[in-house]
Amino acid sequence: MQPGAMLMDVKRMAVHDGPGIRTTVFLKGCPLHCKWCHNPEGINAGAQLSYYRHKCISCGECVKVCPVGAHSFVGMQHKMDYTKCIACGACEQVCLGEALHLYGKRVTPDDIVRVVMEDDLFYRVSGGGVTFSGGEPLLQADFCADTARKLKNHGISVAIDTCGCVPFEAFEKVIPYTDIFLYDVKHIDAEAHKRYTGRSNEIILSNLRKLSDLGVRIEIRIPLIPGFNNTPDVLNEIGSFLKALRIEKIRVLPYHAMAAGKYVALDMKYTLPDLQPPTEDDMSRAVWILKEYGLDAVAEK
Amino acid sequence: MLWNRFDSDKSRLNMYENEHYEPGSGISDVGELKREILKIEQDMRGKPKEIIKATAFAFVLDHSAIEVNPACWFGVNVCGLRFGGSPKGIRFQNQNSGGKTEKPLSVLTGKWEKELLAVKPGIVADAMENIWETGAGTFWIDFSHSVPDWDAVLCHGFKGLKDRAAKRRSEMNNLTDKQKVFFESIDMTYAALIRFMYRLADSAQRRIDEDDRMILRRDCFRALAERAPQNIYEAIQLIYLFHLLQQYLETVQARSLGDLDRLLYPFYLKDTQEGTFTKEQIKELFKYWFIQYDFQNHPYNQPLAIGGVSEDGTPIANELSEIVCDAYYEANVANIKIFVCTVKDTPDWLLRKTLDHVRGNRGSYVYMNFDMAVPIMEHSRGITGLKPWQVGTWGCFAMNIKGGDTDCLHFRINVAKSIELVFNNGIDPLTGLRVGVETGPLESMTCYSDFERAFYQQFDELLRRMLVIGEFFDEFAADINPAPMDSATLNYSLEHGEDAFRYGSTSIACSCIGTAADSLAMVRKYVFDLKKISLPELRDAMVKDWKGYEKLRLEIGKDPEKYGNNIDSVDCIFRAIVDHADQYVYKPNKRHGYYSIAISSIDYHIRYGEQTGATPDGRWAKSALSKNIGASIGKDKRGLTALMQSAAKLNAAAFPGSGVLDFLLHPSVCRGEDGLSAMVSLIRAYFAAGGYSLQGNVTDANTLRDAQEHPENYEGLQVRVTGWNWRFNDMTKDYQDEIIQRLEGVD
Repeated sequence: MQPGAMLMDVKRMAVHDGPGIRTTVFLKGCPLHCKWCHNPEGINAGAQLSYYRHKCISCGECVKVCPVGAHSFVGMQHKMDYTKCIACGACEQVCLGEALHLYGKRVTPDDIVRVVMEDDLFYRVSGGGVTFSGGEPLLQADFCADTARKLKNHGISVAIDTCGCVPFEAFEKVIPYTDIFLYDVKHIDAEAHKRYTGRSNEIILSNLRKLSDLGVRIEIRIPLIPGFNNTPDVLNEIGSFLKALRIEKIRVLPYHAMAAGKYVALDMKYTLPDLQPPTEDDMSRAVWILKEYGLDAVAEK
Repeated sequence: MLWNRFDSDKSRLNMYENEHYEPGSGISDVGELKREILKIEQDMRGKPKEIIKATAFAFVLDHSAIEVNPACWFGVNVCGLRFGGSPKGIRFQNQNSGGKTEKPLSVLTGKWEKELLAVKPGIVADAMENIWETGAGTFWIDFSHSVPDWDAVLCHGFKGLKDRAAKRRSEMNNLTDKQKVFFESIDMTYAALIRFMYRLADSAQRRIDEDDRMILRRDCFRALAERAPQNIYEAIQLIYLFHLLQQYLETVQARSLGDLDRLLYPFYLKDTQEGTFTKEQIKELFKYWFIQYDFQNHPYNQPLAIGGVSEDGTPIANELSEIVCDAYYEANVANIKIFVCTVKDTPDWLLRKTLDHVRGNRGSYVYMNFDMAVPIMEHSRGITGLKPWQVGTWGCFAMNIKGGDTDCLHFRINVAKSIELVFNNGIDPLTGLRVGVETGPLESMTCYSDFERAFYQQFDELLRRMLVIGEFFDEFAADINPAPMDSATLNYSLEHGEDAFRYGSTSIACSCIGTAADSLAMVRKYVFDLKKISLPELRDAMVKDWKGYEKLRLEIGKDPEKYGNNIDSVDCIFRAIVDHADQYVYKPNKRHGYYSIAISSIDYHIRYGEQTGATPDGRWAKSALSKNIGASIGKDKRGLTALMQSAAKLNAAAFPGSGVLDFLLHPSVCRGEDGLSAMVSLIRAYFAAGGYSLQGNVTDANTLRDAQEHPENYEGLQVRVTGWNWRFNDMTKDYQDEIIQRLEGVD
């Protein structure tokens, strides 16, 4: 086992991932396989090479450095054999068009602290901090806890953006260093949840109840997916469930299909190619239903 | 009915697109006015220029055709001034700016400028040689960075200013002939202004039956002929007339309309307490007022200010600040720029209100760090004991001492040109003209220090030339364009009995520093550290515009070690260039002031770019250079927080004349209350780190279309979609199109 965690990406100046201006640290690996997943590069726990065809300038540098012959050219047309790729990242380093990108790099807590501390001033002025996201960050709970502890020593606020589908022990590791949990709730019905995400929601809802009982700060995120949870019945069930918990805010996030390009770049199959995003009326109705339960719900764009 | 008419009047407010004057009111042909002025100059040959100009000034005010617009609270039309609006835009009066002027007195100032330049000393001619042709810089005699003392204008009015100058004259013993002429020119100028107010009043009287507001307009003009303004309507009518007459008749640009929520607040309180005007009526007046500036179509916007601090040190943010912002928004004008003078204690609501306009793409606001005002001014002006309330905003993006300086920005340097000159031993490669010094063959530069030293030698040569030109311009500026109207407002001018242009700082604008800094960093890395290419080979690549060197160009282009990414090794190069320039020019000028630096580009990063060959940072020949204190286009890949931290490393006191950072945000980042809070925090954080000024843009659909066409220019652009930031460039075209469509829906 190599030390550290498998990092997917770091995004600075995140404005909607918790309070204030934040840096979001995306970790790889997710227990769910949501059909609408916006971050397919976060599903697999290992490193993955992506190839953005529209940026390729056919310079051929990748062919020269690839140790397994995953890259080749037919005329000026670049060909990528994903089955051969060992995700070593050598090609990413030399790619002149920046078409190749490796999702998944080993990092230590100190690596993360060094990067995120660059924006310390912005966190302090805005009341922001660092958000762990993914994938599911709590699949690497020890890393999150170590890093969060170091950040707390620097006075940095920490948020965890989680799907909740992990043993509660993972939460227990990070709770001492976490200021707020951004918690996904997708459906109350276990079977429906399993059909669309690959896993039942029992542990997710159970963990949420426990967190609520502990009195930690929780903000709920509901991705609104037409055909899955965009009906009054489902939303009423969600509202009814949440009203019994101690929740600060609920953000309803509309499904979008903009991750399709990433699926192609990663040679993954996009599972909801024809689904249309919810309308503004859908979003307003969802918020209205949740508000009926006394919840502080808002629609995001 | 006097009020609630803005929307119905709007179509009649710009009466000046088609020149129209009250029949029989005077000379209605600009050419005839100019001929008369030249006749005056001929008849008065041998007399002091101040007196000739004052005579011509009075002639225009006494004889030009006029009209008072009954549909408007402020609009007046005066032949030749074009105030009230030339749709073509009014440019600076000097012949080098390429702009066309309608200003009648420019026939005098233009003639006198030509006469002066015709007899310039050889050392000045040498200094000017090949500067414009090679794109190494530009120079002109600048009369476009003055601001009258608005406190004095509102306190005294035209008549009070005339009387004050006369009193000062009577108090002075042993007046020199020059001083007598100075006071005489003020007396003539202000007497003409007072007569002109009566002319406007009479014109309003003749059309009194056309609109109820003409009674108030007539009374306002009469009041302004006789005394200082006593209510907010009279006050802003005075500001409007004073600005336009100074700018388009005196030909001295007034580059701020003042800090309105301080200057006008006493009027506001009195009027609302006494029932003279309601808050809504005051807002409506401001809407009519703002829209008149829009009709001017001034090429660089007309600035004014809100915020800042009062004399007791408390931040200014009051009901009037709010009314000014609301009226500005509702009038929907594009040609006004509002400086928001920001201190640590400036309340969030003022920033939120203005930023809300910014993110709605309506309104141009510039945020100035007034916590830095005193150190910036004290360093650059060589003074101590200054108070924050004594500092005002100036010109495009600058600070200056209120009523205490008449700035001249005579020149601009293309700093990136110095890189090219090192590679070509002082010769500009595109024209073959010598503009730099001989820094020796590239083969003799065996380490980075050699190259860097050569760069500074070339840069120093351009700075040296500008100072030679500056001494000449400064010495004669007041002779070419004496400014009695402006001078009468300024205490230091009255105190010495000398023209405003004999007192003030002289700014040297440095443009395109980001490209120079990146180029130096890349030379250091690829030539001397990595040894991937020699200097002569790099020159070959630049001469061939990278043809045959495409892989190296791409490698250099994607190298993140560029200014704007919060990387010390290159940020410190930018800072060193600025500090060097500040130290080089920091000396007294010929106008009892100091030279100082501005970092500004306006659109010169494009103009100079067209005159600059390929540069070692991977830039193509003739493409745009870096802008203001920003990064080279598309090279700030680590986002806005990194860019801000790079810029905040610079010493703001070294560039008082300008140093704005342009930031670009996508609407999805700025949406909702969280987005607005984030925008406020960005400003607060940048200023806490010592940043000078900020101007924000929230990206629109057109920008994203341009990003599709030129992704290399938008590496840092992120798009926020459902909980994640996305790099716009990483999205496939069809989804980029979808976002653009969404934005169009928002628009």
